[in-house]
Amino acid sequence: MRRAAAAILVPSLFEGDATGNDAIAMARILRERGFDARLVAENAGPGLDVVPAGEAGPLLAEPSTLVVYHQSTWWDRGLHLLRAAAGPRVVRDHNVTPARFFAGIHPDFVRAAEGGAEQRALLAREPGVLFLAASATNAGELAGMGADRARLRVVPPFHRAEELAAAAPDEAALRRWSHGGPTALFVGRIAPHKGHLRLLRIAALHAEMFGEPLRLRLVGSFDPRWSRWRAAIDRAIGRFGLRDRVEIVGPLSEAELKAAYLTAHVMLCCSEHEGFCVPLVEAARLGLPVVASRQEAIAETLGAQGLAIEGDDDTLATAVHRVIADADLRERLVGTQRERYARLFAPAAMERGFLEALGPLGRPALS
Amino acid sequence: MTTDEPPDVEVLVAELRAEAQRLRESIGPGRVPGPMSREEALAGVATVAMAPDGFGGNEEAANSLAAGGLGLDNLGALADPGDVAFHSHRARTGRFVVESKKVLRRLLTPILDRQAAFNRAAVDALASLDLKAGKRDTLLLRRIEDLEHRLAEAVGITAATAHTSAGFDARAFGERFRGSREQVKLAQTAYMEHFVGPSAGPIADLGCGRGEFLELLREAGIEAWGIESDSAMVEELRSRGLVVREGDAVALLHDCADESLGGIVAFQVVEHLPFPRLVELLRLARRKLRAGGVLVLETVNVQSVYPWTRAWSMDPSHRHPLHPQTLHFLAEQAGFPSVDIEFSGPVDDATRLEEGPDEDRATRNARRLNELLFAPQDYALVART
Repeated sequence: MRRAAAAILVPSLFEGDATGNDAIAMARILRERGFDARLVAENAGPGLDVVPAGEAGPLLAEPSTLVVYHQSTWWDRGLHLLRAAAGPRVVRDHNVTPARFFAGIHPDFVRAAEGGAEQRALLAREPGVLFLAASATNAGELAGMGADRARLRVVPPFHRAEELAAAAPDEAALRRWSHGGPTALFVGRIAPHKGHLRLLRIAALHAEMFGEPLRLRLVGSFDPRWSRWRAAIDRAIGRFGLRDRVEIVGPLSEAELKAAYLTAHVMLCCSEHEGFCVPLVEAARLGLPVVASRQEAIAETLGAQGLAIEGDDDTLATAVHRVIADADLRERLVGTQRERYARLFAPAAMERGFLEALGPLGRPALS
Repeated sequence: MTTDEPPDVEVLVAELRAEAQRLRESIGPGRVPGPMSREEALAGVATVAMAPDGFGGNEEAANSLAAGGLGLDNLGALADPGDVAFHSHRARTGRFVVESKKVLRRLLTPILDRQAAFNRAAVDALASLDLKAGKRDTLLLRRIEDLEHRLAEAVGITAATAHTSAGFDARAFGERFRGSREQVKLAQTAYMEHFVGPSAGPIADLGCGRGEFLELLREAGIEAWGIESDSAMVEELRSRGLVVREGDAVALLHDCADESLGGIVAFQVVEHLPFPRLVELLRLARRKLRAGGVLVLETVNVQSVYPWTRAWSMDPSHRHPLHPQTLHFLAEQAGFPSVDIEFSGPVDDATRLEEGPDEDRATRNARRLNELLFAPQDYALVART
């Protein structure tokens, strides 16, 4: 008799990547529950123990193998593996950024976004699958595409906020960033849907309305194929007169990211499209108040007491100023965020939610 | 309110809105430019070469300058001449040199600040000019696109798909002239000898049409998926349980991981591709196939007069004839170590010239003519990695 297996299928597995973090955490939890959980991937970062997707057939042919498929992009081999799987099947849905955001920037991303959306729509109609959506927003989208509501659960993506909280901040970064006046932080890749243009304008308005420059620190990874977008942002920085007030840094190490959170006064998020927003969870854990423009999944991540504002840039600039200047408001916002984090996003709550969503599938049977 | 209570967000947002409005009224329109759309930000921005991580400040700009590739965007990063890191390569006196440089930098600060302010103003002025030029470029491009569209309409073709005549229903055409699904499936059965057993997969069928070959593969237990540009066809294939992606076959093949496919097939597709696209397809196929993978490209045998006067000439979307030796050569150039040509689609005996029972001149001539006129109608390039 041997332990029942679980296969976590993910097209590419890299630590630090949102999908990768989620898949690795699920594998760990299932192992702790007694599964022989294996990560199956087409590509993987160094040091990660994975079963190559091309060799996963026998593992998935076992009727006792629980399959958790991470949907984020078009992955033909993954789709076949999922469909050929003999055991119970779970689809973990990660939102796909709509292709329209990448038009005129690089065709690779337009194609990848279209492919991801296509496969997402295909999977939504797949019978007999349990869906784990990252947010109620995503769950609504899946239901709209035909997913059976009775088999839809909301499980926020696993994150590394606790690891970040435990990490020692990078000393050099702390020294470098501890001066320079009021600072707003944004964490998110330098991609066209992340609202960087709006962040710039809000920083310029903050200086105009309150006579106080606002420093913007933009942290996030960058793909060289987005060079056209990066150039557009550079030019917008000049247009808004912010050349000495905007820092584009990153990607950062965990220690540097910790320093970025600790030295900022507010997190400002104007992203136009999210399925969930992990940096908001990190900000909550690390005690950084968040001001955001209202977008469905961002508002959902922040909760009803979070400051997700439906308003113009003047209002957002005013909110940033108030949160920085009003210590009492800042404390209350941070307190609210912390309470929400402890209730919904702390490791124990996340694990409980994941296992509850799996139900009987999360209990390994011996084979 | 105590600090323990969560803020009343509705009240707070209403307050913030009112405060913002009051301030705006007292300031007036202000000098901050209006919201910038994505399109506006991109207008006139050419694709620029970036460092692999896309970051970096002065050093990157200076490197770009040294490489002769400085654009306006990098120029902005050089605006502040005082924003430099101090280094020295001298082991013993290095610290002294660096400190001296810092003192010098402090003494020069007022001058450098004025220079930096001038530089920024110059960069911003240039950016503004660049933006205007970009807008003009965009307008001109739109006009060109509009003119191209009108021209295409005037000559009865669309600009985007020059190979497809306006109003031409390729699907209905195929239904009428390609043969029934059963016939096509039967003819394609011959290619199954290249794909034996489940380990032969996954197979990508480019331009899978009505999905005959995908069905053959499914029946053989081989995983396979197709790419098809006709959305109605895609829906139909999916309703039959086949896995199909909608879009351009070559473009979507890019999405597959390298060396991940056991086979790539395309039946009656390559003769519709522009030549550079065909070359791209062959190179891409070489990259996407794993060791021992097979590429099958079936097309019209242009060495035979019979299909020339029928299959080839009837379809207005055919681009250029592909001689078997040409395709063979291109596959070798793409790096396939093993390349074969297989002929298929024999012409009915009733159509061929009758060859007499005796090996006389008439029979020999009839045979020669049969070889020229009625050689097999199709051929396939079969290339292995």
